[in-house]
Order: sequence, then C-alpha cells, then structure tokens
Amino acid sequence: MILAFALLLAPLAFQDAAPKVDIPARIAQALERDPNTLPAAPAAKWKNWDGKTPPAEALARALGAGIATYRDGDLGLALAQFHAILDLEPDLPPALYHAGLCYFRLRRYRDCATVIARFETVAPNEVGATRVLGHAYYSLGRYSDALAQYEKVLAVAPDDVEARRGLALARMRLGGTDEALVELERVLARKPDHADAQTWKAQLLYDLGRSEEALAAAKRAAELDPFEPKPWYLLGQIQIDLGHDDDATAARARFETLARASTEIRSLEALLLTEPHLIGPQRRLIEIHTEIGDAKTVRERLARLLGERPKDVGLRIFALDTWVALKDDDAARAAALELEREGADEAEAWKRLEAYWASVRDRVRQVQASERYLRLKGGVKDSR
Amino acid sequence: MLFLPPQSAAPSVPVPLFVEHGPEALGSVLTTCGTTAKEYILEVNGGGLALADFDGDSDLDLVVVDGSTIERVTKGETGFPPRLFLNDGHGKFAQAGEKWAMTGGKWGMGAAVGDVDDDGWLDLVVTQWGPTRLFLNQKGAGFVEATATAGFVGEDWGTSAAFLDYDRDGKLDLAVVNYLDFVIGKVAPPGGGCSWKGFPVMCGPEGLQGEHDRLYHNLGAGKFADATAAAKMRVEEPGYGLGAMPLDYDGDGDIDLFVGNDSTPNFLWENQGDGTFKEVAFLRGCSHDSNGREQAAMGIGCADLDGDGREDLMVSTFSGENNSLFLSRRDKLFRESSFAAGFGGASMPFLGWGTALVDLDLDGDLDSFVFNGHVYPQADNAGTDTSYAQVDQFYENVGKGKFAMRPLSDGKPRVSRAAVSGDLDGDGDVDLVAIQMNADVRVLLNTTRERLPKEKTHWLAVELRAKGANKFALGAHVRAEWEGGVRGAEVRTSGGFQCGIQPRVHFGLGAAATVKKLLVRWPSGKEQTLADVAVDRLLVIEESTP
Repeated sequence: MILAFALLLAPLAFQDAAPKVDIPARIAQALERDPNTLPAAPAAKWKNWDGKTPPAEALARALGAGIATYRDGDLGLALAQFHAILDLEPDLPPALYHAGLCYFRLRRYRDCATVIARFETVAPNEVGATRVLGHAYYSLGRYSDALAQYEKVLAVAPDDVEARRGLALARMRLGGTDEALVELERVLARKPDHADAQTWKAQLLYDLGRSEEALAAAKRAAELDPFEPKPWYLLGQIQIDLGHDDDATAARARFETLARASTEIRSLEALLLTEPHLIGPQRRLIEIHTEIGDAKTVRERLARLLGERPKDVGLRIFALDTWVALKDDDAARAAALELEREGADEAEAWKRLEAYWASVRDRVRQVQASERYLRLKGGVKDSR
Repeated sequence: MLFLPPQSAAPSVPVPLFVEHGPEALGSVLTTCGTTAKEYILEVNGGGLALADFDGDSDLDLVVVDGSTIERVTKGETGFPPRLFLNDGHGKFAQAGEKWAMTGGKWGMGAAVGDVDDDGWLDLVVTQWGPTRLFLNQKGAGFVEATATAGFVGEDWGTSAAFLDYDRDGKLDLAVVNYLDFVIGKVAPPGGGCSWKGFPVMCGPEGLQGEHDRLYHNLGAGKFADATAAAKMRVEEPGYGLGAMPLDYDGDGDIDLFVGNDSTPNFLWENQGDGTFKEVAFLRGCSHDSNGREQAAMGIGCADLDGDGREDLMVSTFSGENNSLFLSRRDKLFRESSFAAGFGGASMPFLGWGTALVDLDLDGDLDSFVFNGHVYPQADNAGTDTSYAQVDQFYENVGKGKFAMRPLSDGKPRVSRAAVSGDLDGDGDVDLVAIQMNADVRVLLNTTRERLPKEKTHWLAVELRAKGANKFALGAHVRAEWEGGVRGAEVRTSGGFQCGIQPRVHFGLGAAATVKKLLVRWPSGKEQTLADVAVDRLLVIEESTP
C-alpha cells in the first residue's frame, strides 16, 4: 500500500515545501541528525492509516518532491526533505518510510532500523512493506531480528521474493543451511533468473559438500550476473574442490578482474551516496564498467551523467569513447551524432569526430568534421 | 565439523572473566601513535607488545613498543623508545634497568621474539615505519642493539614480524610484513578528499601503494640476508600487510606463513620444502571471506580449534565485516565458517585488532578474545553504525562448534589495538595485555583460577628445549590427550598483530587431573612421548637423545 501511495504522489512532485536555500547546509543537518530526535505524533494517530488518503496538498507536494529526489539518487537532500515533513507532521507514515529507505541506501542501517521500526509501530497495517527493516537488521549482524522481521513480512506478503531471499540468508547466518536452501529454492521457483538467490544456492550447496550441484548453480549464477565477482569466486573454489585445476584457474582470473573492479566500484559508489553529482567519480565508474564489459550499467550511468550535464562536450566525447571501447557500433554512432549537435561550436568535438568518422570509414563526415575543426581552430577561412 | 565439547559439568564462566589490573601491575605506561585527531594513516595502527622471558627467571616480561608523532618526525626527532618491564613472578612489572634500555627509533610498530643467535636467550625484533631493529639478549643481563650489522634492508613500514625456520637449518629466519608506502608530504593531508561514510577522514590504505613483505634468512651470529626474492616470497601486487602467523597448515613438517592483509587478499605462503614458497591463499580458501570479498584483516589467531590436528585461523577485521574463522580441512583447504560458529554477526559493528585462540576459561576448549577500536575518530559521528571506542570481546566456546559473545572485562569502550596473551602471574590461566590508542597499556588478569574450582580448571603449559640449534623448538608440534579431550599445538612466538609471545603452548584441561599422553614432534622430525603427565605446571621438555 505504501508504494501505491508513493506512486500517487509522484505526479505532485517537484515542489519542495522547504525553502530552497543553502541546500548543502540542509543536507549536512539531515545527515548529522539522530532520527530519534524526530518529533512523535500522539499515540495511535496513524494506527488506522490506510495509505489511500493523501495528506493536505502542501504536504503531498512536499512528499512528492522528496520521493522524486530519492528516486534521483540525491539521498542526503531527500532525507532533509523527509525530515522537514516529519517536523511538520510527526510520524507521517510515508515520510517515515521513505526516510528509512534513504537511510538504508546511505548504508546507515541502525538509523534505518530506528525509523522503519517506528513506521511499523505507527502504521501497523503496513508491516508488509517492512522487509527493509529485515535487511537493516541483517546488515547490522542481527540475524535473529532479521529472521523475525522477514517472517512477519512473509506472513502478510508471502510472495515477497526479496523478503524470502532475506529469510533464507538470515537462516543461513544462523546456521540453518538446509532450511536456507529450501527458502532459496522457493525464491528461484518464483523468479528463476534471480542471480543473487542462485549465487547463494551455490554457496549453500558448496557448504553442504554437494560440489557437483554447487558447480551447476554457480555456473548459472555467473550466467545471470556475469559482472558480479562472487559467482566466479565460488566457481574457483568449487573447481579446486573438484580437482578441476584449469577451470579453477580460469575462474580465478575472471574473479580477480571483477573483484578489483568491484572494490573500486564500491568505494566510488560510497562517495556518490552523499555527493551524487560529482562528475569525476561518475566518469570513473563508467570507465570501470567499460573495462569489465558491463554495457548495461554503462548505458544507465552514461544516461544519468549526460542527463545532468547535457551540454558538456567533454562528457559527450567521453560517451563516444566509451561506446567505441565497448565496440557497440550503434551506440557509438548515436553518441557521435549527439556530439555533432551538442558540440557544434567546439573544436575539440570536431577533432574527435574526425577521428571517429575516419575509424568507421565515413569519408564524407570525416571531411566535414575536419573542415569544421580547422575553421573553429582558425586554421582555414570560412569560404561562405 | 567436530569441535571438542565443553567438559561435562563445566563450571559456568564468571562474567566478566578478566579484571583490569594495569595500575597495580604496571603503573601508567602510555604509548603514543600520532595525535588524537588521526590525520594520517601512520597514526592509527598503534604500537606492539612482546610477552616473553627475557631475563631467564621463567616468568613473562613485557616489551612495549612505542610510536612517535608527525611533529617529531618532521623535526627530525627520534620516536619514543621501546621499553622492557620485568615481571616479579607474580604479575607485577617494573621498568628494567639501564642495561635493558633501548633507544628511540623512527616510529615503532611491532615486536617479534626469537633466539636469533642461538645462545638460548630470546632476542627482540622491533618493526618500525622505518628500518627493522634487532636487540640481542646478553644472556639475561640486558639488550644490545645489533641493527647496524643485522642485515635488515629498506625503509619499509613494517607491522608484524614472525620468526620461523623456513629452511630447517636450525637458525631462526624472520618474515617482516609490510603495510604501505607512506611518505609525509606525499600522502594527502586532512581534507585531501578522502571520505568514509560521508565524513572527511585520513587517506589510506586505498589509493596508497602497498609494500612487499620481506623474508630474511638467518646467517648466524645475529646476521641476516634478504631472501625474499630467492625464496620467491613476492607477489605481483603487494598487499597492505598487518598480521603474520607461521604455521604448518598442510602438516608436511615445514613451516608456512599466513599473512593478513588490510583491504587486499590475504596471503598463504606454502613452504615448498626447498627454500622457496608459493602463494596459495586462493587455492586454499583463505584469501577472501566466503563472499569472495577481500577483508581488512588486522589480527590473527591460530590454533587447532576442532582437534583435528591441523591449525585453524581466526582473523579480526574492519567494522561492517565479520571476523573470519577459517577452519582447516583434511584436503588442505580452509573453509570460512564464521557465521555457523557465531563469530560473524557479533563482530559486525567492531573493528578488531589483537586476537588469539586460547583456552581462556580452562574448560578444555579454545576460546577467543578480540580487542576492538576504530581507526577513524569520525566513527562517533551520526549514522556510522559503529563508534571510535569499542568494547573488547570474549568469545566463549560453548561446544558443538559454537561461540557465545561475552564481555571480556568491564565492558567500557576503548580504542584498543594490539594485544597479547600469557600467564602473567603464574596461576595457570591466561592473562592479557593490550595497547590502547594514546592511553595506558592495559593489564587484564584472568580470574578463572581464582573464581572457579581448581579441580575443574586444570592446565598444563609446555616449553621445549631442542638439542642443537633452534633451542626453543619453534615449529615443533605438541599433542596432548586427556580424559575427554585432545588437541595439538604448534610452538611459535607470533602473537598475530604486532606482538611476540613466549615459545610456550598452553592447554586448558577442565576436570582432567592428568594428561594421559603428550606427544612432541620436534623440528628435527623426532618424536617423543610422555605418559601420565602431571598438570597445573609449566613443563619444560628437553629433546631426548636417541
């Protein structure tokens, strides 16, 4: 229900209730604030809240703005927006919920647990939406609490695949390997291409000494998510266990490439959690994903970066270079054409385009780009 | 997995098991590692400890390795000197006299203990951010620094060091684990763009160049030669080394070396038996955690936890990571088994340093302790899910492969670092000494023998005296069998993280009043068996003549 409510609010977005002054200071305040200092509503005020009735228009707009900011990945600002709403309307369930989601994505699991537990208390009808509380407990190493939370969620939402996956992992951490495997099989029965569930299934089978089955599961996991290091690590370990030395060596090589990338990716993503618009880390992330051949993630990240800075010719050139490196001819051509449009007055754009069109043997465009470059550099007079 | 069950009718463990005894036992011994602001990574690891009998009176003396400050280094001043405190036999320490005095070096880090010149007296190695130092024991009468002639090379940042006789020539060789290339002025100053959880923090280790570890071959008479390349102990990409642990992981009689690396895969150097090593951590399942993630390994505990005759490993790690228990298996593979054992979730908020696997409550099975403390003072900021000062932990082995986390002492959070274990007061239970960041060294006395029935808390400590070289028999294996229990132990002097220990093995025996069989496998390969060994004592076994 809470998600339906969020969707309802989304069209109302883009009107932040709080004054748009000194945003960095607002973000800093929000990040420094202990969520226990948020004001509390009178007891049972939201007990019967059903998520269908939107709040007053101003609050609804503010919520919509916060949710839009959250979806945009600007988590610090989104948190500030939700704090502002909760100061005005204490314990407003959708604001509490989304503040909790912000904390989770900011990897502030204790704060997430505080806020979502409060959400569960003030809006007990929404327990089905609280699997993130299980995730937070799990991340804090509180596996028994996580297990209990997932069970609560699944009692009202038995088809929640992510809650069931969480339940499986919590059971595994508590030593219930066999029970965890049963739960993962349920996840995979509902969603056969769930790469993470497949990976953990391989891990559990390996732990149980069922190496041949583990090998098959790990191979499937690597197919489903070829850029995640863990399946390759498992493949390496299982192949060693089985005495398949050559295969183990190959899996290890792939694992080490992906692990190196993954370490840097985690570090950059951590930086971007609080400063999501930094260009350098975003560029570096795209470079890393390019190096490991993850075109899907490159596409997503490039779209985001270019969406933030559509007129930045340097980034347009970077996009072209990226697609060329990935050998995606269609995407490279599209990037070149965009560069022609957005960089029409920039010599460096035409210099790069000249090289690009030459590389794809488009002689006409190459010459045009060359002439344009020379004109902009002042080397040849415009004859027109 | 077969763990030794606790002794039947085992007494419940008093909580806390340890009491603070620092002021009475040691007085105020402050160490320094930079300023409290921790603006550079050089300032965060703290100093080291050695607990060994240097004066030959059979009790454990204490060496405290001290650091320095950026200001002193910048001014060209020496660091604070390492200090030796002699034990009066009852766990009270007094600073040793002038003949034991050591001068300040550059910036002290860790300590290692071994009889370098084979004179039957334990010598001392001090690692530094700077050249490694050697202090030769003058037959219990004092130290003489022999660094200038020792043959140590480089200006590395040494952290842990470990003695091992890798080529079995009877002379103790030395492995020095190095951290990273830190040059004041080249590493970004505070505010240099490094952040953790959104807060600006000191930079490193990520972004800084790791340093290769070094292996020194003992040439005799206190002289070493750098054998790193000849022994093939060099990987393409160095790690950020913090912990060192010699062990015969594959049971082939020669000594291997496990190196715990910060934020980079661990190394397991498998001794090839021909004077060279091969790095096999990935092949043996202990390079990463079970998720395939490299950990920030700090301290290392090593012992035969499950009684299968092979050494297991416990690695303390960064906050947000779990302390890792790597259990050995018959096929020479390790399997990370932290969560099933209870080490996983309980360690997630903590950043662990000093640790060991040792029977703290003398019930016949091995427990563990971990001293914790964050590297970032900013850990106290909102939303970090951790804190700068942290409590220390006692993981009590409750049988069937499970550990329960208990408070180790008074439960007060501290910023702890290196820690070392040994029986300080000669009562048979294992006490602890721990470094705190920029605060007094702690002495924690174990109350097991005091508070539990002595007939339920028997023990046996064993030291070996080999014939010929390697007199303290490093690398020997001792296997004890008693009513209800069996366990093997290797003789070593490495305390995991920047610590050296007495070459002594210790068995908690619970209610067993006799060790039925004690089997010693000497470094020479000979085996020697003792039967019906009386307990509650330190037993010194001399290698028998064939």
